[in-house]
Amino acid sequence: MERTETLLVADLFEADTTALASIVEKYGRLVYRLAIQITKNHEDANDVMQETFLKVHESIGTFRQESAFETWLYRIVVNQGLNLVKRRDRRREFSISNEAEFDIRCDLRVHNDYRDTPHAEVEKKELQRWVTQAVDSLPAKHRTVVILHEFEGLTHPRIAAILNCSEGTVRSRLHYARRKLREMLRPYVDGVNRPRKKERD
Amino acid sequence: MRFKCRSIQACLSEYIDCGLSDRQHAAVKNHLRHCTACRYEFESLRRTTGLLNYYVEPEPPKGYHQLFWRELQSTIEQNESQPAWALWRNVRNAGQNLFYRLVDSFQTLVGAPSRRSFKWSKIAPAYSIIFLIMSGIFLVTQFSRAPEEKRRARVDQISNPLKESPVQLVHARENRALVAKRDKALGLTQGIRNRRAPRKVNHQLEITDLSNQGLDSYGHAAFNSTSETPRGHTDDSDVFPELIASAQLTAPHPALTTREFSGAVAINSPFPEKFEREGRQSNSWLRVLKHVAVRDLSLTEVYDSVKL
Repeated sequence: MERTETLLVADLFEADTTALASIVEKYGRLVYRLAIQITKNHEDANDVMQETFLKVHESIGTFRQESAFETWLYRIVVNQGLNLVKRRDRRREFSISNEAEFDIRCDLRVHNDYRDTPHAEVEKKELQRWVTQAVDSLPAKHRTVVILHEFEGLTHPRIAAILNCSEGTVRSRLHYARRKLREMLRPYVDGVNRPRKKERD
Repeated sequence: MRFKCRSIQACLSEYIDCGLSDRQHAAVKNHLRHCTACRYEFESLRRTTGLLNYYVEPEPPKGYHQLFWRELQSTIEQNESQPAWALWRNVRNAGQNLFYRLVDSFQTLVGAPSRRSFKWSKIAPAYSIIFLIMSGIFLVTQFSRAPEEKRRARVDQISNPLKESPVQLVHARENRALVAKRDKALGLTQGIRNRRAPRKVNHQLEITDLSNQGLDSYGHAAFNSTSETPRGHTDDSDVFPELIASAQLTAPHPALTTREFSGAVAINSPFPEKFEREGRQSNSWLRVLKHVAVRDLSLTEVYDSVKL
């Protein structure tokens, strides 16, 4: 029988390894996805995952159950990820270039429902490349907010709780990130009828 | 760009997320209907958000999670096989818990919580920490000063009775020129009154051997500070024309001819209130000096030898 989140956390308090296995099984994909989106690198994402689940196992005693377990888990991942990015940026070491990383992502992804023409496929891949690179080139703090809001579908208060900042900060970061993305994706965004300069002024 | 457009564009992101209140939402919607620039801004942001669907979400390699779990398990087993690690983990967790409790407590204290949620038990740790810090600071400041330095400070305070004499304060209030004169004599600048210049010990007092004047069988020697007064007292003679202080040695007169002096010293001061403050009713003071070089025998030495 599948244990509920509360039971899992209670078992974790008892240092139950099977509870940790269930936690890894339940949240592993989510943690990996968030970690790789923040770190942009499989090796670093793996490190973040290791650190996260080790911390969950060792520091479950400090989990005060004031927030949901998932929020606490998100907070650990985000903190570990951002710390790693900060350290890595300081060292300026990149194992794989953005382009190579993107190709790996596309190869790993299985597009079973893709039935478009080869030309459309190329265009779509090009668009995916643009969007992925644009998101990846955002500063880590803004990228994290975009990931949590747009891809994980979390609300502003929850993101604020995860990032330990105010809701206003989350909103402003999101707004900044969207404007920045719009500048980077200008050729695709300009499909919208742009008003004449006179009208804009 | 109009002011309204600017404020509308600032909240377009929230409008897209439907995070505005009903009233604000209606206002923005109404504005977008009429303003082309803001409509373009909104459409472009919405389209940007829509484009994010094309983001290629990274997927882990096949079989990654099983591999990861095995790796994690072995790391945990390795860590737990070391008892020191387990102990460190427990201590760290306890420390973290305590820290969070204290942070909570401080937040409750600082954040002025509502009366309903206010509990003394919540802010007690914060108060106790503040109390401990204050006590620590007090103890450190009390005991860090060397006893010698402390004694010096007390002696300094006594040997400069003018500094705190209420009589002098009255005079000082009455006559500003006198205050300036005193400050100059004490080495105080106008700007920094509280910082006293290091006092030079220059108490070369006249020592008169009175034994030949047939005072008594022991022979009394008296010395006073009127002949060559200490620095800082010089200009106060108009304030206090009487003797600043005098000391009387009580010892066999040959002591004065030797290189060392040992014997009783009686100190007279024109400031009885000074002594009253110290718990004495008389204006005289009797102290015993031991092995003080005669050439160093001065009023300062006498004061310095007094152990309070």
